[in-house]
Amino acid sequence: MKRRDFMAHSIGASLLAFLTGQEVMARASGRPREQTSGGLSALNPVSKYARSYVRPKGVLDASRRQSLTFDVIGWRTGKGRQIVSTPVLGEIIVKRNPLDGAVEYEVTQRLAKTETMTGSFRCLTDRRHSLERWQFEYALNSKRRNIASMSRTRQSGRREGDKIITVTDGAETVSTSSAPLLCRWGLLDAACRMAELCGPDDRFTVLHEPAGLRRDQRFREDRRGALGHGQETSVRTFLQTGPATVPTHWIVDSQGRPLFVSVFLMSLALKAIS
Amino acid sequence: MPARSSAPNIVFVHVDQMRHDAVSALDNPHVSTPNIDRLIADGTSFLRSYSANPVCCPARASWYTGRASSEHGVIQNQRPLLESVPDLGQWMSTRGYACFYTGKWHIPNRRVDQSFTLLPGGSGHGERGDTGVASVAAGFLHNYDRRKPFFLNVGFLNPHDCCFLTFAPKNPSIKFGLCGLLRDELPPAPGSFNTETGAASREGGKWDTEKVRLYNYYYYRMVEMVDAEVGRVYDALRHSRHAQNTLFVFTSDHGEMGGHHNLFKKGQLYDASVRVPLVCVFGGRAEAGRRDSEHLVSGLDIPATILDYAGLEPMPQMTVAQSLRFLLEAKPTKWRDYVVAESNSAGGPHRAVCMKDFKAVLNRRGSASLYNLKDDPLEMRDLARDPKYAEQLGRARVFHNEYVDRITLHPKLTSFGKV
Repeated sequence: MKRRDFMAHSIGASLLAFLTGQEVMARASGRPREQTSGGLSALNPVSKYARSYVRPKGVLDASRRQSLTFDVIGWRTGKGRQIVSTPVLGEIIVKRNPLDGAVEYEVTQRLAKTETMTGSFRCLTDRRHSLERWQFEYALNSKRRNIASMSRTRQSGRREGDKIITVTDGAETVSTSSAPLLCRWGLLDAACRMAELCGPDDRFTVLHEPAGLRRDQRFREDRRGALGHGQETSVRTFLQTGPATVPTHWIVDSQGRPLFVSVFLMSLALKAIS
Repeated sequence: MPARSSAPNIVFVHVDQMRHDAVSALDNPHVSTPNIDRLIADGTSFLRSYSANPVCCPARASWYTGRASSEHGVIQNQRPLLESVPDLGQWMSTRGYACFYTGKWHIPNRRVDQSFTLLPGGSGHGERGDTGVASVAAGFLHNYDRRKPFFLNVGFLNPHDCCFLTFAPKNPSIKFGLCGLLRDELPPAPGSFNTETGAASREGGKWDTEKVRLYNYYYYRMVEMVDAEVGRVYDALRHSRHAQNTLFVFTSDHGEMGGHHNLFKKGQLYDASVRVPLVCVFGGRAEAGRRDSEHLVSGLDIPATILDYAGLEPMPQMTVAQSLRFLLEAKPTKWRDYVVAESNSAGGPHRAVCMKDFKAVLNRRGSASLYNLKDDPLEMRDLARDPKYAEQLGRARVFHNEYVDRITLHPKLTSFGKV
C-alpha cells in the first residue's frame, strides 16, 4: 500500500488529523461567480488527498535558490465508481537557480518506477517568467537495453523573436507565434501575480513537456475559498483553459504559493519548500 | 510468402472513443485537431468508416483478426478471443515483419507480448499514459535500424478518459462548478439531446443541458490532448529515415455518444458511437487530401489493407474484409454496397446495416429501425414502420443475410443468423 493510501485509510491518521486540526475541507467564499453548485470544484480531483494535506512551511522567494517538491496525485475508484483513494503516483522536484536577468529551473520528475523526466528550463524575470530556452529528456525505462534505447525522447528548444524552435531527437521544427511562451515551472513563481495574467486577451503558449506546445491558453479567476479546518487559509483559484487543456486550476494561497495544480486524473500538490 | 526487405513499414495508430466528427478539418468549430487535420491533408480519409463493433475489446479484436465479433468471440468487453484465431502480430511476425506494440491492447485471452515485441508505455488513463506511449513510438521511429520491415502499433487511450466523467455525481472529478464560468465557450448540446428529459448516465445522476455541454467541453479537450500525441508520432515518422516507405493508418475503436439521444459512451449503433475517423497516409502512393464520403468501409478493412501493402496473404476467414488499397490509390474497383456493424450492448445482439443513404438496425427477433442518413443525419425518425420505406428495409435484410452467409458464427455464442 502506498504511503498516502495508508495515511488516508488508517484510523491513526484520522485521529492524528482530528487532534491537530489538519483535516482539510474546502469552502467557497460568499463571492460566487455565477456557478451552479457550491464548494470549490477546483479541488474535486484531489478531494481525498486534500483532507490530510498539510501546507508546507516557508515562502517562495524567486530571488533565492529554492527547491520545491510536488506530489503527483491520481485517483482510484471503487465498485460504486466513487473516488476511494487519491494515491501519490510520483514526485516532481523543481530547483530554482536565479541568474542575472533570468531564472533556471531544474526539474526532476518520477512517475511510478519507470517514467522519468529531467530537464532545465531557463526563464526571463518578466511578470510571466517567459520561457527562453529549455532541454529535457523523457524516458520510460525497460529492463531490455535495446528497447530502453528506443524509449527515450530528448528535446531542446528556444524562443527567438516570433519563432519557437524545437529539436526533438535531432529533428528541428520551427513554429511562429507572437504570444508569450511560458512553462509550468516558471508559472510556479508567477502564481503570486496570477490575477494580473487574467485579462481576456492575455493569451499564451505553454510548454507541456513532453507532449509539446499548448497554444491559446488563458487564465481567469474562479472562486475564492478556504482550505483547512481550524487553521484555515484563504485561497484563490485560477482557471487555465485552452486547447488540449482540461479545466486546470492553480490554487494559490495568500502567500502566493501554488498549493495545488488540479487537473483531472493527474494533479500536483506542493509538499515542501526548502 | 515472407515479406521482402523492401516491403513497406506499417504504423497503425489508434485512439479510443473518438467520434467521427470530432475533427476540426471536418468543420467542427468546437475542437482543434491540427495534427489529425495534417493527416487528412496528407492522406486519404474515409468519412463513412464504421467500427466493426463499437465497444473497445470487440473492435480491437476485429482490427487484429480481420473477423467480425460474432466470429472471433469478443462480443463484449472481457469476452475471450477464440484461441485458434490468429492475429496480425503472429501472422506478420512469422512472415518476415518485426512487430512492435505500445499502449492500449485490450483483447481478452490474447497476451500482447505473445504476438508482438512489447514496448513500454501506457496506463489506464490517457492523461497519464498517452504521453509515454507517444514518446516510446517516436523514440522507436528515430532509432529503428534493422533490415526487417516493421509493423509498429500505437494504442492511445484518450479521449476515453471522458468515461470517468460519467461517474459523477458519485465521483465529482468533473468540475461542474465551471458550467457558469465557461458558459459562453461550451459546445452546444447535440441536436438529438432532449433538453426536457435530460440524460442519465449508467452510474446515476441527471445530466441537464448545461452539464452535457460541460461534458462535451471536457471531451473535446481530451481529443485535443491525443491529437498532440498523434502529431508527435507522425512528426517522428516524417523526420525519420522511414518516412518514404511507411503506411500510416489512424483510426478509433468507436465513437462517443456525448449526449446524442441522451446517451453517453459507446455500444450504440447510432453514428455518434459506431462511426469513426479513418485516415491512411502513404507518401506518393495513397492520394493526398482526398476525403472519401462515397465508400462504406469497416474496421475489418484495416488488417486487409495492412496485409495487402505488406505483400502478405490474408489471414484465414477474412471473408468480409476488403483492402482499401485501390481506394487509396484512386484506382477503379468494385466496392461493396453496405457495411455491417455488430453490437451486443444496448439491448443487443443487433446489427447495423449501413448503406449509401440508409441505415437499418436489425435484431434477432426480426424487428428493425431504419434511418435516412441523408435527410436525417441525427437519426431521429425511425422509418421502419413506414410502408414507403419497405423496399429499403427489405434491401437491408437481404444485405444482412448475405453478410451472415459470409461469416462463420462462433460455435458457442449467443448471436443470430439470418433474419
